[in-house]
Amino acid sequence: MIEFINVTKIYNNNTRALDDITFQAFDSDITGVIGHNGSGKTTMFMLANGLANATSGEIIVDKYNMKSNRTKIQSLTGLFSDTMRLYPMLTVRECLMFFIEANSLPKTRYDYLCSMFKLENFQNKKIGILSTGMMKKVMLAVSIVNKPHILFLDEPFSGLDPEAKHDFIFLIKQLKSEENMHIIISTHELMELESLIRYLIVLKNGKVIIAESMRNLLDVYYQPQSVIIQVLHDNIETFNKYMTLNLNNELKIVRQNIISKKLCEYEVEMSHFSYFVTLLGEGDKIHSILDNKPTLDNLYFKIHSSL
Amino acid sequence: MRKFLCLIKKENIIATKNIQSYILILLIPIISIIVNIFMSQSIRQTIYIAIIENSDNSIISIFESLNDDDSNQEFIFINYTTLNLAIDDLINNKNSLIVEESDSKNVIIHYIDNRQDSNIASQYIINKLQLYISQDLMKNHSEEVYNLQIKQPYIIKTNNVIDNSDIDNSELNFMVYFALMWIIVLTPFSNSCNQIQQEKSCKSLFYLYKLPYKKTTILLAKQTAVIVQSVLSLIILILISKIFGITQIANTVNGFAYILLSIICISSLGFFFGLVINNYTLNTLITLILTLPNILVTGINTTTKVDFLLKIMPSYHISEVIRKILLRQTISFENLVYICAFTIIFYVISILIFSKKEPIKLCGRI
Repeated sequence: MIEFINVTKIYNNNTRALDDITFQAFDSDITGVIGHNGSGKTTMFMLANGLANATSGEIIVDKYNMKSNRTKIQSLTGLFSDTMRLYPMLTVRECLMFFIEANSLPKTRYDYLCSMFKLENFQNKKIGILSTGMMKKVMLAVSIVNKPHILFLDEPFSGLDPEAKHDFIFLIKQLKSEENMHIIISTHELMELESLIRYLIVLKNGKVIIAESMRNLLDVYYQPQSVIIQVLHDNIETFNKYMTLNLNNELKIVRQNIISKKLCEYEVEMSHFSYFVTLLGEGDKIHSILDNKPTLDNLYFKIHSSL
Repeated sequence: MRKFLCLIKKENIIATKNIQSYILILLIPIISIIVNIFMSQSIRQTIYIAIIENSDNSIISIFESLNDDDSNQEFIFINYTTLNLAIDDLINNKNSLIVEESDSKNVIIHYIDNRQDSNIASQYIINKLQLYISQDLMKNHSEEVYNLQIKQPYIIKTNNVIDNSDIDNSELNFMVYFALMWIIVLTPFSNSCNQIQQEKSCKSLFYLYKLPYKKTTILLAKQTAVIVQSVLSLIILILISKIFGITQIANTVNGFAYILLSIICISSLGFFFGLVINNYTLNTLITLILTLPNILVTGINTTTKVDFLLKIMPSYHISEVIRKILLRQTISFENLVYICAFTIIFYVISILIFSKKEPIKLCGRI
C-alpha cells in the first residue's frame, strides 16, 4: 500500500508541483494516475521512489515512512519513466546483468526476464540501436529486476505503435498476475489505461481531485440512461414496419444502427427496456445487451467539468 | 565486493566501447608527437659545406675523416673551376659555407653573417681546425707546447660531471609534455565531468540512486574507469613515442605513482564540476580554463602576473609534477601535499553533493 498524507512539493523556483495531496492506493489494484501536463504526476512518482524530498507531509510505502526508511523504500519500489534512458553503449545482456548483479540476484533472474520479455534475440544488441518498443521492454525489465512490491510506470505507452502498446499492456497484466506487483500507471493514453486499472487518481494543478475505485467513480459519475440491445432478426424490414405502424411513439428508441442484413443495434431508454423486449417477434433473438458505459476519456472530461 | 566489481565492469565497458572518446584522448597527443618529430627534423637539418680542393692541399684529409663523424654535416669537395657555382649555392641556401685553402698556410672561410646555418657551420669548421692544429702541435712540437703551457696564466681542463642521457633531458620537450598533460590532466577532467553529465542528462542517475550502492562506491567505480582509460592511453602514447624514438616520455614509468595520484586528483575535480553544473558547454569551458593556462605556463616555464591565481588550481601542481617527472628532477613535497589536499577536498564535497542533493534537482528538469 502507498499513502500520501498532506504531501506538498515546492521546487526552488517556487513552483508548487504538489499541493497538500492525500490519498491511498492499495496493493490489489492497478492504479491509474491521470491529469494534464504539469499536474504533478511525475513529481508524485519521484517522491514515492525516494528520488525527491517532500517539502512537507508524510509518504508511507508498505508501512515504511519515507523520512526514516528511504533506502528500504527504494528497494521496494520500481520505476519506469519515459524520461529515463538506459546506457546506450551496453548490450541488453550487459545492462540487465549489471542491474541483476548490483542487486545481488542470481543469474537465473536474467533468464526469467529474458523469456518473460522475449529478449532472447536481442540480448547481444546495443541498447542505443534498439527500437522504441524494444527499448521500453528492456526499461520495464530493468525496473522490475529487484522484484519490487510497487511498480511505477510513468508514461509507458508514449511513442509506441499499436502492436507494441498491445504487447506492453499484456506485459503489465502479466506482471500483475505473475509477480503480484502493485502497479501504478500515469499516462495520457486513456484508452489503454481503461483496460487495465481498477483505481483512479486524478490530478489537477498539483492537487488530487479524485482518488477512487473505478466502480465507485462509475456509480457517482454514470447513471445509465439507456441500454444498447443487439437483435438478430428473421426479417428486419417486417420488424421495422411493425414498430412504425403499432407503437405510436410509445417506445423511445434513442438510436438505431443496422449492422448487417439481420443484425440491428438499438439504443433504448432504460425505462423502456422491458417493453422493447415484449415487442420482439418469434423469429427475433436478442444477440447481446451492452451497458452504455462511458469511456475513461468521457469520464475524465466529466470529472473535470464537474469541478 | 562482487557488487562493486560489477559497477566497475559497467563503467569500464561504457568507457571502452566509446571509441570516439579514445580518439579524442589520443588524437591531440599523437599530433603533438608528430609535430615534435617534424620540429626536431627541421632543427637538425644537414649543413652542406663546400671544400675547395687543391692539388697540393692537406685540408681534404681533415674533413674526409669528419664526414662519417656526424650526420648533420656533409662536405662537398669541389675545385676552383666550380667556385662560382659554389658561391651561387651559398647565396641560394644550398650550401652553408665554403672552405678555401688559399695557400699552404691560409684557410679562408666564406660565410654569410646573417644566416644561422652559415654561422653554425663556420663555428664548427673553426673548432675542428683549431682542434686539428692543437693536435698537430702536440704531436710534432710537444716540447714547445709544454713550455708554452707553463707560461700560460691558466690551463683549462674539462670534467664531465653529468652523463649524456641527463644532458638530453635537461630541457623540457614541450610537445611531449603537452601530449602527456592532455592525457593526464585535460581528458580525465573532461571524462569525469562528462560521466556525471551523461548520467544526469539521460536521467540514468535515478537508476544509480535506486541501486543499493553508497555514493562513494559509485564515484570510485567511475574514477576507476577514468584511470583505466588514461593509463591505457598513456601506454599507447609511450609505445608510439618509442617507435618514433622519443625517449623522454619513458620517464613517466618511474613516476607512475605520481601520475596515478594526479589522475585521481583531477578526476575528483571533474566529478565536482559534473555534479554542480548542468551544461555541457559550460563544463567544457571550465575544463579548458582550469587546465590549459597552467599546462602552457608550466610547459613554457615562465611567470605571469596571475601566477598566484594559477597556483591555487590543482592543475598547476600537477603540471609541476609532470614537468619534473619528464626532467627526472626531484618532485617537490609541497606539490604533492597540494595534490593530496585537493583530491580529498573535492572528493568529499562531491560525495556530499551526491548524497545530500535531491536526485530530481541534480538531473535538472524532468
